[in-house]
Amino acid sequence: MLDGLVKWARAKSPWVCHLNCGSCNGCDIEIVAALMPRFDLERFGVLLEGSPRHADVLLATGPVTRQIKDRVIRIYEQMADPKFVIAIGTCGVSGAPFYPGYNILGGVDTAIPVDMYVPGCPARPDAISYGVLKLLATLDPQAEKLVQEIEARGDTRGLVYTPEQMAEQREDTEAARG
Amino acid sequence: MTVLYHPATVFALSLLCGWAVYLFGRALAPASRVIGGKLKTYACGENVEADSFPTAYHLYHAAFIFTLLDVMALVLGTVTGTAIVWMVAAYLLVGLVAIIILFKD
Ligand code: SF4
Repeated sequence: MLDGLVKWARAKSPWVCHLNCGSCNGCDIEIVAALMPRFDLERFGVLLEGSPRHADVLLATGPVTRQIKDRVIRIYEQMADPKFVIAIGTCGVSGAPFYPGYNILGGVDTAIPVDMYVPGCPARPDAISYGVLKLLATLDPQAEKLVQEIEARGDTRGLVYTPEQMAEQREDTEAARG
Repeated sequence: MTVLYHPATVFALSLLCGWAVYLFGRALAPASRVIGGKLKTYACGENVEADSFPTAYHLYHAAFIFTLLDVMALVLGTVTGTAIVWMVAAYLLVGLVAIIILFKD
């Protein structure tokens, strides 16, 4: 019963913290848009927190620069368990278009493990909301049902990638490059 | 009934409540994993060392005297009707001595 209560509370109040790893600010503005009343991410219980100490989900934007890498790792370590990371924007996913600049290491997953990828330059606010919802779907059957409804209603391919889908996508890209 | 309102009882009950909340939190939380900078001071990802904080004590005296006065007010406010007057007076005297020592230099 306690387990059920914990799961319910965790899925219904995911507190997020935004971390700019080296983004141009485009994706950061879209996160704000996703949280505002039009897209209203807060309807899922999401709350933007100032400190990663209080957050469950890290919304990481931008490529990981050499300068920020240690800081990103430290911030991730300082979050309470269980924690999740969503890489937002094409920069957060792969470091592009700045990769392979002299100061760029790549996407967020070059520093910390990522649970969901939301590509786009910038990532669309509805895609960000969808990414968060998909993450919640791994915890909450109600959110899972909602994701299924959304997927049945329209084409959501390419909006959000799970780590497995991202690995496949990367393999395909490598294969296409030859 | 008065024993329920006694400061010692209230203190013990508060302590118990605090422990209950803490134990409930411990039961809910997953096992703690102390990795890397988990226990470090959070400073937006910066690696701060404890001795890099400048500590300013100039308001310490003022803060301490207010704490003393607060504690004294609490004790005097919750004193039971049967308390002997000289005990209250002695307590005030001890408080006064503490304040004088604080501002001695
Ligand atoms: S993905 Fe585009 S909008 Fe987002 S941080 Fe990178 S360059 Fe900026």
